[in-house]
Amino acid sequence: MLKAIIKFFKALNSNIHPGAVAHAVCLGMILGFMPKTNALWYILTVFFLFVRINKGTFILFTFLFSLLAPVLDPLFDTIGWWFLNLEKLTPFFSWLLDIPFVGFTRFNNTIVMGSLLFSLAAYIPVYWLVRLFLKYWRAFLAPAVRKSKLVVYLSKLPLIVKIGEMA
Amino acid sequence: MKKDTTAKPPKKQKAPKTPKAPKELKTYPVKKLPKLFKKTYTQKQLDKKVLGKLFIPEDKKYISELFKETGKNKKDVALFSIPQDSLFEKKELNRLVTIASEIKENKGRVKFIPLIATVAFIAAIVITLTLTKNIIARKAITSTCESIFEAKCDIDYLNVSFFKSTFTMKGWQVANKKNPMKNLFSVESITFDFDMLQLLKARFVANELSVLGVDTNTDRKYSGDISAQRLAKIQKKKEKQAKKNAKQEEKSAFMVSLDSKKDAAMGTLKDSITGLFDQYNPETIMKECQEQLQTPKVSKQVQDEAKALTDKYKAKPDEIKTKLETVRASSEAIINLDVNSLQSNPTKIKDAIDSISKLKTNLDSLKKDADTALKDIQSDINGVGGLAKQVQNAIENDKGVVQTQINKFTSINLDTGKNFVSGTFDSIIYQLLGKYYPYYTKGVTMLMEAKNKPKKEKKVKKTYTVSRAEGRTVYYKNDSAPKFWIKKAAGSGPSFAFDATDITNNMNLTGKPAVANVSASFLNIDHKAKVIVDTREASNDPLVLANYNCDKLTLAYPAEKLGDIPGVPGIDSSKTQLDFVLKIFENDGFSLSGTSFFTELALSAPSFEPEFVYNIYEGTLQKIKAMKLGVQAGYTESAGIDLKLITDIDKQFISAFTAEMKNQLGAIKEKVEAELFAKINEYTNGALGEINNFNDISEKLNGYKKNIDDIYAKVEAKKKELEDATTGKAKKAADDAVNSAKDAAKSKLKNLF
Repeated sequence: MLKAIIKFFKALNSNIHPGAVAHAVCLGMILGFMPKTNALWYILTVFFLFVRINKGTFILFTFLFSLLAPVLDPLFDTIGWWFLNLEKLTPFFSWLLDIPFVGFTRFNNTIVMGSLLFSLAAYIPVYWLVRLFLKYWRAFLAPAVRKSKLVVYLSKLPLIVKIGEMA
Repeated sequence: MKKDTTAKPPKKQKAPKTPKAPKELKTYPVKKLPKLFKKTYTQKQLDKKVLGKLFIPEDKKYISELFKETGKNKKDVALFSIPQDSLFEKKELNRLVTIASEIKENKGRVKFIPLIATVAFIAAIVITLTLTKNIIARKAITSTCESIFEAKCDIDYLNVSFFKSTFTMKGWQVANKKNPMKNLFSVESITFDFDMLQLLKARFVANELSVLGVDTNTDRKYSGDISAQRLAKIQKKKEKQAKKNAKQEEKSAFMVSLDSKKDAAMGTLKDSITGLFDQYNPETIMKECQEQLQTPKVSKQVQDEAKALTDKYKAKPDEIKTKLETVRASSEAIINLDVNSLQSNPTKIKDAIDSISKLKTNLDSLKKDADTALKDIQSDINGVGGLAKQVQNAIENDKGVVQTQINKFTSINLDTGKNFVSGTFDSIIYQLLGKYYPYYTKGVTMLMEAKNKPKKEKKVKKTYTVSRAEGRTVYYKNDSAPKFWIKKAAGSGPSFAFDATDITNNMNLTGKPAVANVSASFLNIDHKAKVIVDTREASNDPLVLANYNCDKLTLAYPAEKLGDIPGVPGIDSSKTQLDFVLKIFENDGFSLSGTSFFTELALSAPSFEPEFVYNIYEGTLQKIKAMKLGVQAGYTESAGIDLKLITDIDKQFISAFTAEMKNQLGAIKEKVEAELFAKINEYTNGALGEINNFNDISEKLNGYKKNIDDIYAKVEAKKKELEDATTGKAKKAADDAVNSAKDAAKSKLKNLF
């Protein structure tokens, strides 16, 4: 986890594409919010491994969002129940369930479906928010923070130096 | 601390050090830069390939300042590159290396090549599995069968079709390890028509299962032996597993209850047979009888006393006899003396009278001895009479004892409640219950798991996890298929047929119990069974209800299996008909009830003492050729095992046995009586012999006394005759001489008497 944090901070202050970081945060959000007891989570994880994103950020935000997920479970359940019971979609879901292996994804579970829907809905706003943040961070905030007395002081601490060497 | 330098002479001062010239920083030419920065770009290319991939404004500015216009290309477009004469410090070089690597990382969003490689790999696995599925299935089945049956397993054709959702197997045969040229069983074809969709949902749902051409003991074309190496491997594995199971197996409450019942049944059986018949053992009776006889003791005593008396008088008869013979010899001449011939010769008369006088003297002495001996013996003869009386009394008493013991022998009264033969069935059933109980527990555990579905206890790991809500699962169809469900199954063969419905692991979902009917005829034995398994939670029916009947069953349970206990019979029935109902309850053990008819029955028991009783026993057992046996067995945790056998065999046996015993006992009684009386005679012979010896002595003495008296009388007569002759016919011829002789003779006779 420490490596993930270091990689995240390194990504913030390097020329890594802002999209790679923003996608990493959003994909981490999807996996973090979704329960892990279904095939869909593993399929998405495998797929995400082939997406060029910042892995440190991805792992860090998967962990952070999974900590937040239980708080949002009631919301996911409500969204999932509403969506899975949409009359127009019922035949589709029924057909989907009949497809071999699809049942293993547990898409018909309210938490799975609710968290997926919530994450997808939040994907674009979060993506742009992260990009916006990065833009301002790299242009203005980072140089200011780097010059601040606190950071200058902290950067001289042996532990921070050691962590910096790890990066 | 500052040092005092005044007291000491001033030292030679060193020349002041000239400051070192600043070290020249090492610089690197353009050719040392990353490849990205050695290239020449148009403005457009520079923006796209380099500047467009930089997102730190400082870096972007730094790089853009490095690139200078260095010329133009053929199209007269300005070209930009880092001037070749530029020099970079180490720090700058490092920064450029980092920026170059960051630019390289900023490629397209998806890594297509690894993605394609992974998809290709998965596809390869799927294709390989599809191509080898039949081989894998065949290998798995043959390997499993060979491990179980320890003989070759062959499959002619096997096909698993996922598209058609079928599994077909033809020509499946498993060899008999005891007879490798025969098959233990063979199946012409097995076809599963399963639901692929349910299989992919991790459920096995077969709409139909058909098993055709099931046969046993068919011929093989080649030997069914498996290699010795493989066989050793299988057996080693089985032994290991058996040891593991034995270690894990704990003695259940059922087994404890069963053991105690079994021991009790066996003990009762032993006592009821050998213990009972022991009282009819002639040797035992004779031994007991002999212990009560008085004759041995009395006879011994009498014999000793009589012998002492006999010894006391033993020499007397011979002594008297010798003297008697001497006297008899000397008296012969006198008794035969012709008195008339002496009348002419008076001197001879005188001699004769002298001889008679001498003889009478001897006779008087002998008579006196005989009288003394007789007098003595007479005083002891009463004592001997008393001894004889004692012996007689002992004999009378012993006759009474013998009669009493023999009378015991005359009647046999067997308790009709005794389990002479049915007790054997008790023991057999207990043994069978013990043998099959582990299968019962395994079966019930499996069914109870199916009924209650206890969740497997997960190992609790001390990890900090974030618990998520379960959520709700929405179903759009009635998804009631259990994990395992064979809706309909049927099978047949030359001597085999079965059909079953709703075989499943979760009957709550199917809503129906599993029902199976089997009929088979193996080795001329007809079997029929109907089994209903009901694991529905709401059902009140037994967990298992099984009805089994068979005909022409060969049932052999030799006495050695029961431990060769004397009198406990082994059973061999070549035609047994069984009809049983087994009920297994959810939480209350099981019950087994039914009837069985044994025909062509052969019962035989190991021998026991007395031999004559065993012979009758064995003979009676052999006469029993048929029997009916009703069984009611049950087990509950609270009450343990309960077993009741209802059979007529004990009554049959006891009446036949008692009648035969009565016939035999008459002859046995006479024999024992004769033997006992012979024993009494043997005991008394010694004593009576001694008494007889004593009496003989007495009689002899009496005889000798009588002889002495006879001789005495004859001598007396002869004397009188001589006297007459002397006083009558010779008076005249010799008056003086006779007178003087007479006087002399008279004086002599006077002296004599």
